[in-house]
Amino acid sequence: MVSEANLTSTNITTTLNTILHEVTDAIFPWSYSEVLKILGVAAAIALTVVIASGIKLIMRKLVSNRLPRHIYIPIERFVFYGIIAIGVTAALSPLGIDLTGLLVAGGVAGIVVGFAAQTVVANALSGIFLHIDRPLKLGDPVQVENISGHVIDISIFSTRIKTWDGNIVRIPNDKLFSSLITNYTASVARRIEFKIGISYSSDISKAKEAILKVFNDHPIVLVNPPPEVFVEDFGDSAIVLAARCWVPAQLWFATKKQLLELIKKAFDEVGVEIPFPQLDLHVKEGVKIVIKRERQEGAQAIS
Amino acid sequence: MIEVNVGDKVSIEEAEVSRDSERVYVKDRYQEASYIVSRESKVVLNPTPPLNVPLRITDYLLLQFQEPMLISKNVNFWVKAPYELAVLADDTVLTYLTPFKVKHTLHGEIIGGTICRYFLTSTYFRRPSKGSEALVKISIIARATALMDGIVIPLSNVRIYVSSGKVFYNVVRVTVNKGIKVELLSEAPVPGATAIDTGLSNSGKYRSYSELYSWLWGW
Repeated sequence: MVSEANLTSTNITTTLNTILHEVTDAIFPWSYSEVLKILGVAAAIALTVVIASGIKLIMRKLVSNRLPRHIYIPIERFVFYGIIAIGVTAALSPLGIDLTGLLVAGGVAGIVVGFAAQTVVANALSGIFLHIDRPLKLGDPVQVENISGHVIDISIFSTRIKTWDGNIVRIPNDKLFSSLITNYTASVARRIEFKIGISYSSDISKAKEAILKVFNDHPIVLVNPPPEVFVEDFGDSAIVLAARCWVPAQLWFATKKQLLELIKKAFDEVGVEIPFPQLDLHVKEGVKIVIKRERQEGAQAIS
Repeated sequence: MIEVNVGDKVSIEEAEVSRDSERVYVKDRYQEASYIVSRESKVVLNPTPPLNVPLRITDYLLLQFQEPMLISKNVNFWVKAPYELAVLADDTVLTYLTPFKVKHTLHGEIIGGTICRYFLTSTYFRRPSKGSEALVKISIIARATALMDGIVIPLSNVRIYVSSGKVFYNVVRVTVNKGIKVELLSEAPVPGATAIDTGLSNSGKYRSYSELYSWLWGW
């Protein structure tokens, strides 16, 4: 009886052990080494997230204030999630999960999409470079190729310029980036130059003094660099004076149009003549000139 | 501060303000205008830093010395400087007038330089008594030798004082070392000088660039 009881007890113990192992295996299906691998993967993923976050913070400190928000945010997200994707792919490989194929597929898809949208991508990249290079800013008076006006918007894909006559011109950023850009306010001062013809009978020194007085009396014309006036050419009908002065860049046009009127007034006051084109005709030999005069109807004809 | 009553006509160099029972008339080299102001209103002229006429381009003033000065020891001297007149009616700025001719200049290079208001002045080792320009006391601290032909003053920090009908800037301290450092001290240039409210120069009632087109020139 005793041995039978012992046997039964042993069976129960064995059965219980078997059940316990099955339950344990069901709950923890991994071996010790596998558990270590999983912990390593988790740590690697956590490290990736930490590194990505760190890079994001560094970018915010160093780059974010150099780029407009709508440009910076997509870049930040691209970098952050790119690092996470690469890190997770690398971290999962010890577990036999290979995402390289997925990445390659994604890369191929990216190339296909890139080809399809290369203009858009080129514009976007040019937009980013424009923000880094900053050849123009909002409000700058600029000339891009043959378009002149104020910059009113610089977006990721295009730049809009309000021309002097009020039209809005949209220039794709890739075209803008490869164009000749003249920024009229990049320097604090700009030169105004006039070519003024005076008659050969006028006094050159009086004309020069009159122009210099206009420059010296004008509050916006700068003292330094000094204005200058000199004879540039002896033209067909006029002595051509070149008059140059410097003004604050933002007031260039307004000052220029005032100065021209003031110079004309100053010439009138000192008696300097601005001539119209003239042609002196010299006849070497006597030429018979016939003049016919007609009388109104009813009057006698003059022979 | 000069009060302009009905029937008064006040002239300071090229600036002129007159008043009848209905209007205030203002005139200087760059403008001529009138404002409807009731006879009960208080109209005054306050000297302010020269920032606004004919339009605000810069916050800096270059005082160019007629003769360069060799700085080798601590010295105090006086120079003349421009100022403007704020025309106020019941504490509201009507306009700014300039008693003096206005010129500007470039200080530094064309790229990276600064546009400054320009004024040519003699240097005086005794306070000059003639002339209607403002007076500026320059206090030089020489830690090196330098040849100085002018100084640049940040006008937005200038405080205007009045004493016995004369207009003064606050004392300017110039330290000459490896470079030249300009500081505007808070002390009055002469004992008993009255400080004019400096808020005027920053009141925002100055001409903008867009108003350039509507200048009233004397020509």
